[in-house]
Parts: sequence; structure tokens; C-alpha cells
Amino acid sequence: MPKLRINDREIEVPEGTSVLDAIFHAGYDVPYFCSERHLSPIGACRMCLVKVGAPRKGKDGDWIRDEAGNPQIFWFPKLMAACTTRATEGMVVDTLADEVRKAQAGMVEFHLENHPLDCPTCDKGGACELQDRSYEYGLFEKYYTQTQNGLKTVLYSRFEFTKRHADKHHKLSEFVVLDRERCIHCKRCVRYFEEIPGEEVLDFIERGNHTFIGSEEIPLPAGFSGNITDICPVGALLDLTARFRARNWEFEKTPTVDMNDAFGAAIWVDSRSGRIERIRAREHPETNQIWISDAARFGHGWASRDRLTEPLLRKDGELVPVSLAEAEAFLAERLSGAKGEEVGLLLAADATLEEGYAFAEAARALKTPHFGFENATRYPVANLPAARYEELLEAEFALVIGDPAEEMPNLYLRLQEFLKGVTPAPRYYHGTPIADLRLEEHMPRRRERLAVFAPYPTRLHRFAGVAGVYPPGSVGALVGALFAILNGKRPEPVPGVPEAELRRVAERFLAAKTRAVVVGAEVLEAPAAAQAVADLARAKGALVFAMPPAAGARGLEAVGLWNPKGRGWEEPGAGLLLAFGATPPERVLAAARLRVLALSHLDPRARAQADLVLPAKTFYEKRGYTVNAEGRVLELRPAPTAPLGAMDGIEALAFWLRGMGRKPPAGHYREARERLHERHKLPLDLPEEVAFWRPKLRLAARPGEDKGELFLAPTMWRARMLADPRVRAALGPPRLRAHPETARRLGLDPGATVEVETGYGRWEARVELDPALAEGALVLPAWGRGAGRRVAYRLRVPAGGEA
Amino acid sequence: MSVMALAKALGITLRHFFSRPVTVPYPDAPVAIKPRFHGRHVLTRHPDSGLEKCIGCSLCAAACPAYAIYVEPAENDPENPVSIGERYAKVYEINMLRCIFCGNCEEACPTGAIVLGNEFELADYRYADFVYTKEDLLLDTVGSRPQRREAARTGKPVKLGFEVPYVRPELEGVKYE
Repeated sequence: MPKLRINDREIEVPEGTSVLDAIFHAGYDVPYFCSERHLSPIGACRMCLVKVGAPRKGKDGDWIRDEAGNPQIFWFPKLMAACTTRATEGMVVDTLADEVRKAQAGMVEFHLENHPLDCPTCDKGGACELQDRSYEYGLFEKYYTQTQNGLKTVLYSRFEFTKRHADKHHKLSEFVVLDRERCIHCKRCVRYFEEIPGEEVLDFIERGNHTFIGSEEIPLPAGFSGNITDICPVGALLDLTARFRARNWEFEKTPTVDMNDAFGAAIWVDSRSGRIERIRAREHPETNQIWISDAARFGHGWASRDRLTEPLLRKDGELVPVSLAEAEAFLAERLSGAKGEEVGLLLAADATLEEGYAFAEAARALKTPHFGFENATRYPVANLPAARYEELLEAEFALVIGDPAEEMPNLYLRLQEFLKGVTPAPRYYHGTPIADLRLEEHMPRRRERLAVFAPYPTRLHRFAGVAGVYPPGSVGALVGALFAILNGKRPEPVPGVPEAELRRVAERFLAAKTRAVVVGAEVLEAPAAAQAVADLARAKGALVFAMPPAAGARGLEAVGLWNPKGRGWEEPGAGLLLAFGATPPERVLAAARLRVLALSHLDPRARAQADLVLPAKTFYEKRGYTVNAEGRVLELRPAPTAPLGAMDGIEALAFWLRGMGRKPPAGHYREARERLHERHKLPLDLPEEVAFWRPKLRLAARPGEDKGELFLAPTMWRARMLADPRVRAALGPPRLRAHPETARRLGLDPGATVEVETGYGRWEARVELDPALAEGALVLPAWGRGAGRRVAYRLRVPAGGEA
Repeated sequence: MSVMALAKALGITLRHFFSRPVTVPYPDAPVAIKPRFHGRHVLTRHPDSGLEKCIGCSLCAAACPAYAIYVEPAENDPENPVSIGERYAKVYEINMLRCIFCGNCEEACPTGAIVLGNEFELADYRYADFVYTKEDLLLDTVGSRPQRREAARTGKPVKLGFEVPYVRPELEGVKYE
């Protein structure tokens, strides 16, 4: 650990620390724009210039000493960029020298030379690094100019130039806009794309004063593009969903957790006047670092539009607004004398632990077999051991069966980190990781460390040493064959995947000291395959990362909402139905006598079939806890955007049970939380870094197998997000991908628009031929419902005839 | 007490009885106010193009010590812009009950859009009527809400109870008549 002196303070820092971090650690400040902890240091902006000196060793191997006998400090001939200089033993750093101050002020002046002064209309204003640094480190000698009326005005620059003019509104995608005048060429966005999601899309074009950010790929590939709006130090890259919605200081900023996928990414919900205007990534070093997916960031538009604000009751076939008292009376009348086992209690996938607990307790008290949460897989994910995301970086080999980029986008970014061979950076005692000087531009990806299998080519395929595409439905065969080889047995043939490939995977798997297995929804839907993974983890000590399609799956199963007997959401049976947060499939609704839905938005199915609709909160507005895919307990905090009277699951359930004349397990959130804590001893008071809840469970899997032919591919985007026209425009119509042979057999023309109907809904899809698919494969995006499943379908060409 | 003293006192009374009064018979006669008197705000326009000067930057709201201002911006339609530039104020509200007429909003405004005018007759009955919106504040509007309501009722033009020697240049385009 090198010891060095920063101004007057002696400090000791971990090996590999940059001078920049050492300065911060010593408690001094230094300005910077291009440096970003999670990206490679490049020293582009020259803001962090400091005076650095170091002792030198003589020929005898000892320090060259001055007259007093101390090691003599040799100052570097020029100022050094602190972000790219490594802290070494005996180094002396001066950040307060006059020449340092002058150089930094000069750099600020230089950065402002071409930067437009449109801060009042810039969405970054108030949260802009350039603004802050200009105030702190800008010109300290004042220069004045005389204005017309004889007053003196302070100048921000000594030079008079005509500012460079460039494209001010360059749309990079439906979600991101680039203002080339504001760009200060820090290269953060360019480095981000290459280093974090591994897509080289942006780059500098031209040189010198003419440099601008450009791309061959417009629109930017959707998936991880939104993060550049967070890391841009100026207002050059901005989030279009929040364009001109409010200034940065006017937002209500709520720190909460994204519940669109099971990763548990930390987010800021920025709202104003009861509307969610913007989602930003929140730093959480152990989970999402500072990155979130585009779906999590830009897919918030649905939450603030067309909200249900009051109960709706069906009268003469129409849903009409009623008072809560009337709804209560209706419920009491219809539920009087109802039998407990008739009741169906269905909860949405993004429910909190407290809601899950209340529903599970109520189902137990009513002795009903009809309960469950949406998107529950056949194999309970809570049975699988959970590994920390950071542990993935320490593995030597990873086997992926599924599509992490869509199922758990942040895990995909972790896999990219794993491919680069980057282990978590050492931390200071105060927990802040040091900037990693081991990160470099264009780091080679170690493909041999990764094997990927999926029913269609995923984003990860091109980074994998072994990459296979198998026909949907043979995931069981694949896992079986792989594990037969691992156990030294003869494997059964797997369609689409040669045995030699499997042997290569097995060989690398066994050769690695630490290994990871990442499994997606498709594996969890095949109980035998999932059980094999669980057994493997136990026998060979592999880390398991399961990606359930329901965000809260691990926690909801653990608090008792696991129902091995029936598929609560899928199978009709319940006569009296209460569904919270999502609308059950048509056949489930049709089979019920009483359909009460608590929804944040009215959808067509609810409009057609519901008897009573209660206004519900979205996950952005709920208070509570959730358990993410690694078993970490995360806290959800409510954004102040819920309409008055919107209920969470606990309140909706209590409302229902009071109608039945029964005592609810909890009347409101606090009560549910206390009961939950009493019953399950959750580590709610621990900081999130160490708050894990991984009860050892042996839940029975649900038997059965999917019979359909259409594979529902997992997507990071959810069906509800499509309510936002911007999201619809960005995603385009759903693509029905088919192998050319399959398309010919079904009579599908490439580019044709067909109507696909599954048990989960009806989509207008565009046919696309994909020779990379296995023969017989037909793939449709799931948009949240039934991801990883194979379902029966009906095709119809829009003209009306059967295709 | 002498007769002289009595006469002197009566003389003072008589002198003032026949001299011009210093008070103004407001509201029958207008009050003369100084041009820099801080009264009701005006949202000004560019004199040649007629576009609003306000770009919806909310700096007035940020500078307001009484939290009296609420601004909601929106993006300009390039074909049919409301203001110069990309952004305009879709909603601009000042709560006149909260406002302390300090003029910080005027100082904070980067485009000189919000200027404190000279009108001061704002008395009204309901709380909600004190929240002045863009249509109450824009330059073309003369008179406060109650004055315009009264004018609409009687069918006469708005009667302002003051006069200024000149309208200061910041209030370019404002006519008090």
C-alpha cells in the first residue's frame, strides 16, 4: 500500500489507486469531467491537472536523498492529469499551488469557449458538472467588460471568439437527444458503449475544434443507451422522456428499486406535481453500480397516464365511477356467505414482500387453493441457491442458458464485466471503491470464459466461446445432456447443438476453479432441468444466478405465496376473484362469478369483464421491501404520485376480506410489515450491503410441461409500457421470428403483418425470417407475460382469413 | 390664552381650508406613483416578433423567497412557436397572496420576461382568484383580475387607479391607459 503526501496530509491508499482518488481520500478536491469510476481513465478533459513529484532511486537501489537525508522529490516537468497518474510510494501531490489553480481555471475557460450559454433552457441546468466546476474552479481573476449602459459585467473568458455552431437537436433515438454544441468531448459516452454493454456505436468524428460525437447506428440500439444521459457531465445527452418537464431542483427525488425485473436495480424516481417525469439510475455498488436498462429508465410513461382514480362498478353492463362506500356495500352484498375455498387471490409480479405476506396469510386462513402471483414459474426460484452478483466477477467460467440482456439486463452488464476479467475494485474503509486503473479502453473480452445457449441468438452470443441455439422446448434435453457429460455418462443428443460443443463446455466447466450457472425463465419452466441445476450447484459448488420472470419471485415464494397445486394466474377455478396489480387471462376471468380487480390502469380485458375495479398503486408508489434475485432485501420508497384513494395490495385485500366479514391479516402497511418481521425475521434494519434473506426452502415444483409451439421470448420491456407512444415508436411492432422452413410450412411471408393470439393476449406482429433459429422455432416477444414459455397460438392475417 | 393665539390657530385652519390638499381622493382620482414602484408582474413579449420572452426556465421560481411562482415548461412547436428558442412556459402562475413584491424574480430572469409592473389594485374575494395565470400576466392584459371582471360586468374599460410619469424601459410595450 503506497504512502503519499497530498498537500499537507500523509495518506495510505490501495495499490492501483489513481492520484485523483488519493486526493479525494485525503479530503481535498480536484475538478474533473472525463473521469468516471466505472470507465477507463483517459485524461481527456485535462481538468484534474495537479503538481506531482516523486522520489527517485539511484544506481545503488536506494532513494536519492537531499542534504537533510530525506528522499529528494523530483517534480514532474509539467502538471499531471491526476486521473491517469498512479499513486506511488513517497509521491508528493500539490493541488493548491498557484500554477495548478491557474491551469485549472484556464481549462475551465477553454471548456467554456465553445459551450453555449443556454443553461436556462438546458435540462441539465442545476445538475451540471460544468456549471459547478465553472463556479468552483473558473477564472479567479475577474475580467470585466463595459456594457452599453455603462455598467461593468464580469467576463467568463478573456478571449473573444465566435462560438462553434453545430447540430443542437440531434435525435440519437426516441429516448436520447444529442446537443453537439454543448458537448465538451469528455468521451464518457463513447467509452461507456464500448466498455459497459460492449457495443461500439458512438465515436468522435473529425478532429480538433470540429470534433463531434456521431454514430452510424441511428437510432441507438435500445437496451442500455439511457445510461449515457446520466454520465454526460454536461447537457449534451439528455433524456427525451423528461425533456423540458422541470428543472433539476424542482423534482421530488425518491430513491427506490426498479421492479420491472428481478435484478433489483436502484433507481431515483423524479416526479413533479404528481407525475413521474424521469427515472435515473441510483448508485448501488453491489447491485447495479450506476447502470440501469432502457426499459427501467424510459419505460415509466405508463405510470402517469390515464390513471384510475376512483372505484368503478359495473352497472347495466357499463363500468361507472362510484364512491368507496358504494363499492364496499356491493362487495359486502356479493360476498356474504361466500365460502373461503371459492376465493381466488392473485397478486402482481412486482408486489412487495408485505403484500405477498398478506395475500399468503389470507389464502391460508381462507383455505383456498386459488392463489399465487403473476408469472410464477413451474420451478420455484427460491429453491435455487442465490449468489451475490459480485461473486460472478470472481468466477472463472460461466454457463448461461437464457437471455440475460432481456431477462435481467443488469446481470448482462455484470457478465460483460466478467468477460473483461475485472474483479470488484478494492474499497476504502468508508466503502467507496477506488477508481480502477486496471480498466482500459478496448479491453479484450475473454470469450473462453463464457458459454451461452438460448432458443434464439441473444446479445451475449457474439461474446461467448461456445454459443448454441437450440429449438425451443429442448432446454431439458440440453441441461440433461450437459449434466450427463459432467457426470461422465453418455448424453442423449440435443437437436441443434453438437455433442462436441457440449463436451467443450463441460471440459471448461470442470477445469474452472469457480464457476457460475446463469439460468433464465425457460429453465425455471422446465422443473427437471431446474432441479438438475440445483443439484449441480450443490454437488459441484457452482454459483447459481436464476432470472425469474416475476420481479419479486424469490421473496413472494419465500413468504408463502408459492402454490404448487394450481397455477393461480393461469387456470380458471376460483369463483370469487380478487386480482391485484394486473388483469388475469380472459379464461380465468370468464370462469369467475365475481371479478374484483385492483388496477392502476383500466385495460380492455378489465373493461370488458371486471365487476368492480379498485384504483391501485404502481410499484413506484408503494412502500415496502422486496428480495431481489441474489436474495438481498431492498427497500421500496413511495414516490408522491399515487392518486388519492389508490390502494396497495394490503389495503385492497383488507377491503375484500372486510366485505367477506373476515379479519384481514393486516389492515395497512405498518401492520403487515410488523407481522412479516415477526414471522420471518427479515433483516430489515441492516444496511442493504449486508441485508440478505435466503431461507433454505424445499418447495415442491409444479408438474407439467409446455405443449405449445410458439416460444415467448423474454423482454426487458413490459406490455404496460407500450401505453406510452414513445415506447411504441421505439420498439416498433412485435417481431414474429421464424426459421425460413417453419415460415414456409406455416405460409408466413417475411415482412407481412399477422395477428398472433395466445393465452396472454393478441398482438399485431411482423413476420421476420431468421435462419439462425433452430428449425421449427417460432419466437414472439413476451413483453412480460409468460416469458420463457411455449404456448399454443392462433395466427390470422389482417384480411381475416386463417393463415 | 389670548385672543391672538386663537386667531393664529384659526388662521392656520383657514389657510389649509383654502390651500390644495396633499391627499388624493382615490379611487375617484388616480394616484401618482414612481416609475420603479413594484406592482403586479407583467410577462413581456419581444416587441417586433410578438413572441413571449419567457423560456420557462423556472429561475424566477427558484429565486422567489415566498415560493409564489410555479412554472411548467413545454417544448415549442418549431412551426408555431410561443417563445424564442426551444422551450416556453406552458403554465406560469404567481400566487399574488404569497408574493412579497421583492423583485427577485425580475432580477433572476435571464430574458427579462417577468417584470414587476405598476398595478397594485389586486384585492379580491376568493383565494383561488389570487393565483394569476399567464393570461392575467401577459403584457396585453391591462388591469388585475377583479378590475377586469368589473370592466366586463359594466362594459366599460378597465379603470386603473394610478398614473406614472413614464413606463420604465423594462416594461417595453406596456400601456397603462
